[in-house]
Amino acid sequence: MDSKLVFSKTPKGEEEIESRHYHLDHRYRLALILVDGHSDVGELHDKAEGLSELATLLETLALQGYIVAGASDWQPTAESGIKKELIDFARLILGKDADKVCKKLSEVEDHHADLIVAIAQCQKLISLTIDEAKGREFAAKCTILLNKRHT
Amino acid sequence: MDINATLIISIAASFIMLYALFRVIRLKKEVPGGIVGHTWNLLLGLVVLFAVGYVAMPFLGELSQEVLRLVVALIFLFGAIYVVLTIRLIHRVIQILSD
Repeated sequence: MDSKLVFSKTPKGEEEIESRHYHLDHRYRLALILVDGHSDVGELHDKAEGLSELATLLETLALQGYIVAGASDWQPTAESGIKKELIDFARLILGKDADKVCKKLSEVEDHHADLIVAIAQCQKLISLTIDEAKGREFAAKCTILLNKRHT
Repeated sequence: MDINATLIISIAASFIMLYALFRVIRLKKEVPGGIVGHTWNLLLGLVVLFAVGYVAMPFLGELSQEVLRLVVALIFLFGAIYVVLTIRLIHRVIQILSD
């Protein structure tokens, strides 16, 4: 997710804040509260310390119509299956530095061979620009997951 | 080479080094850590040092020849360190990309 995106609450989002009508999970509610219509995703990450999966939460909130991205052609996408799990791994291991890796994973075709190549590329990206140990951890976890799914 | 030419070259060098400083700081935000990130911090420190040295150079005329030679020698030393760090970084990046 682009860290410069700015989200604002929709009427449904405002209604949920005021009345808890839709009974959102507390993590989603916290993410919804943080959305203020002028802070970008990067700033929301700073405000949401400990909420490492913020991008996923925002994407889900956008999919369900609680928030909307302003002045952008960005649209939420419903990643599913193995790619979603890989993206979740990336967010869990890399936290706020996961954006580039998540983008790379979300763009790859959902085929075993393509995912293997993408994971190797992501490991290199992580090792070069974030942390070598995290790169190894990410690749190891993703490889185990892919192998489980493939067999 | 007369004084004017020296001054013009020094000013041009200072502007280029300040531009390098701007670029190295800007790129730092993109590279929070990892192999590139760690070396980048060292390169950033060296570029700051060079920028200060380059900008101050036109004003160092008052110093004695001995001190001036020492300053130039230090700039040469740190310049050599910069080159070694850059070569090592490029080598490491090539290694990782070739794996």
